[in-house]
Amino acid sequence: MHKTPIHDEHLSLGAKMVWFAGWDMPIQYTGIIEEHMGVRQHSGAFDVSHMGDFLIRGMHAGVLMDTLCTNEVQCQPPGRCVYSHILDDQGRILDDTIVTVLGEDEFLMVPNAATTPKMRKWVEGHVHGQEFHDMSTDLACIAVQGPTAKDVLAQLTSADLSTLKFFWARFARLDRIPAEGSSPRTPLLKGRALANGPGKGVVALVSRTGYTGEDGFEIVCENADAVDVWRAILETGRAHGLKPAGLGARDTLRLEKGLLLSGTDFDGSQTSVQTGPSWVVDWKHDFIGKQALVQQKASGTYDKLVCMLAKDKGIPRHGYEILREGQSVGTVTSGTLSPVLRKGIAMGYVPVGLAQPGTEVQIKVRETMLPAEIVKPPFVKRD
Amino acid sequence: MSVVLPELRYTKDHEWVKVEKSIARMGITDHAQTELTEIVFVELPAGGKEVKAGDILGNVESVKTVSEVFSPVSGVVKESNGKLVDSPELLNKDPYGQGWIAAIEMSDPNELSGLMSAEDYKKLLGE
Repeated sequence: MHKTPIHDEHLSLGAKMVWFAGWDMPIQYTGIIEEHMGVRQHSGAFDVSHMGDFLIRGMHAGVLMDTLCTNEVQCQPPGRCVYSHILDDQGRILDDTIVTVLGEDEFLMVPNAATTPKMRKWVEGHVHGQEFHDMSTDLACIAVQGPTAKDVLAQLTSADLSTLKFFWARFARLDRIPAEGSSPRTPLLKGRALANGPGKGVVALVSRTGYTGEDGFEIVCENADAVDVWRAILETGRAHGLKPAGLGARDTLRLEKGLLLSGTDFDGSQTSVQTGPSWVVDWKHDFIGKQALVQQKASGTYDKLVCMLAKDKGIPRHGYEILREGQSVGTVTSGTLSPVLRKGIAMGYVPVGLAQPGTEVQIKVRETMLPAEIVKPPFVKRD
Repeated sequence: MSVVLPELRYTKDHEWVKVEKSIARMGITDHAQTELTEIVFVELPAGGKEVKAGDILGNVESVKTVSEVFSPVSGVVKESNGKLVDSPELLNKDPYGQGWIAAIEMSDPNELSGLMSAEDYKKLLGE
């Protein structure tokens, strides 16, 4: 079982640990609802070092990325982060990922933890002479998420991150934390030009990205520096209401925003046409699986992923049946109680003809039929 | 360490029973509520429901999980704790008091001898 470099910190914080995709991860520290509300109202720090990290660079690496990704990557400027699906030749989603443009023909791809081995094989199988580095167990990633995240980051670094736009990234030194920082060894961080110039401090790639629907940052650093960064975030974050948050809150936060969970909302048999969001596919370029998507879209007969809001007490869960006028029409893929709305929320697949917002369905919760309405995501809007 | 009250009887599924003449009042133990974490939804048995020992009485849900609650004895459900519908957190705050789940009119009080003493339940918990 893998342990992130911050593992011992979680134990000393009294976290409840859980096996997740081969990693021993904190599911909660004090309570899922408390951590969830903490992120919505102030901010939270998540150890997401279990996510993968691939560096792909060299001649025509941009062409390779465009071939693999449903969204166009190559045309984007350095520093841009792109959310994309990666499909097999039948159009089925192998994984969803964020690709960061590091330079011309140089990219960072972050696959999900559970899919990292599969994605490594897939990407390596399509490499034609480019360099491929799997740094998944050499790099840590800490997500700082919530309305006060920007204030926390300002106390970690002299680099001006307030100007960093949503879905952009920048290399920086975290020079306001007590640690001197190790000298970077990974190809991601070694020898980079930093936003705040050379000097002391932990070298990191800071992205304005996340999985909570809040403003926030993801900080990728070397394993050797991870504990220093984690401690500095918790220490300086305290004044901004920041607390550590586990995978439990991460799941409820993403579900309130209608964000997909790899392996749960798509499990290898669905396409991007089925899951959406519509902007995840850039139809102007060619990519693996495109033809299948075009055909499926034209056929008009497929199941579509929808968001459902419960209209009565009850909590939909993964695997529960969805009914329409007594007929079984689909299955819930994700469900929980929304800590913000205090109502059951769910995602699941129904025939595309029933996918319009406003459609009434029932979710079978054990012996009870829970009335629910198909709604447009997100369940929880930003203030 | 979980609270185990000496005057109650216990099941291996982490339910407790308080005997009130012919009535067995039951709920989930402190250990169970700690393991489940924040309880957000409770499904209660209807009054008048006939149950056998080991039957599913209802469900207790946290954000992450659903957990079945089993009847520790056979009999008829006299009453269930309606307060839990709007205040499921009572199960966390006061599992042996305000967080009781159901009161069952026992059909076979001899079944009580099959339940664990506080001593035995502590051993089961390894505490």
